[in-house]
Amino acid sequence: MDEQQVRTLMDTLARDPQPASSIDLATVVARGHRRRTRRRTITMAAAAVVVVAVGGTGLATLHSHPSPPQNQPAKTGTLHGYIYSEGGPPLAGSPRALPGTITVTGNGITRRVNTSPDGSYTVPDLPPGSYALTGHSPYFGNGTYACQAPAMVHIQSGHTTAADALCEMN
Amino acid sequence: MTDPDVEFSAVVGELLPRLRRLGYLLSGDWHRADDLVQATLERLYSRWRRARTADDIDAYVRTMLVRVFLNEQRTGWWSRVAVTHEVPQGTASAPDSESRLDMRQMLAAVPARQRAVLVLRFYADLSVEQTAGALNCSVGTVKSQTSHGLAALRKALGPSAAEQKSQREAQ
Repeated sequence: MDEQQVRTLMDTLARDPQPASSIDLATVVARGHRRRTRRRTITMAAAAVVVVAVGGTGLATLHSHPSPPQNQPAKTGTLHGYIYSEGGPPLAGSPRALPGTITVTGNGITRRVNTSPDGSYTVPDLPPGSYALTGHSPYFGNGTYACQAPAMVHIQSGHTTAADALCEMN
Repeated sequence: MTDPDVEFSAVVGELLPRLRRLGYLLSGDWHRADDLVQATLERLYSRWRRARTADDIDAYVRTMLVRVFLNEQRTGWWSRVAVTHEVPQGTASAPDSESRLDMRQMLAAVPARQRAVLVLRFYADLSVEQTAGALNCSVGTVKSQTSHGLAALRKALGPSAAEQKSQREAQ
């Protein structure tokens, strides 16, 4: 087998149809954030050790999560929307709201809320930043399938951001 | 100014099909390919501030993916990342044709590091030098791994028609 034949083999295999991806961006963000925080803490701890070593005796205080300045109102935003599926009864061909739960992940936090019976939800007091939005409903795959927002949701302080989680089969 | 998470999401969306394909060629299995890509993206997210300034983000992530793959091989086992709670939707792939199954088995017969070299050189079209950089090894090592990998593929392929004929004639 020569190099050209190997190229052909690789190209043929690479053209195999890709099944639906099981990669969940919300999980990537949550786990990636935890990994980043861990790395930062380790780096700061290492730096503190160096400071102590150079300065002889001393006390190193680590603040991997600095506290917000005092006497300032918390600046947060609100996320509001619906979890719904396309088509099906009672209004075939139109969005159908579903009850269930909504999980918001990002900025190192995860918040989970139940939706109202009409499928609406509200997540208050979210720090500004980007979040991944995932929903689950017992009316969609018995709650085992994730209903996702089409993109990351951006929260601004003092604003209410609208985002829906769509339940659909690939 | 672009939000880093929005930017990350956009870049990942563009890279994902290529990364999954690369993971598939390295591992020979779509599910494991997804595990590899998921682990790679988590690492990418954790160092996104630095990664986003890379000259070639495609090459940067590809290198990360190959190293994740080799690192898992080095530890002697790989972990199944809990990707989602749910069963992937519509994952039923087309039935394997016999020839494709054979091709996958041939590639799987090549040791992992040699397979990574072959994939980078003959699928990703990297030069010997670029492959050495991606795998953090010398040019000589890439050349020898390529040679060994090709030999392993030939062995997995079995004797060629010409060799079979000469064997028959010798008998």
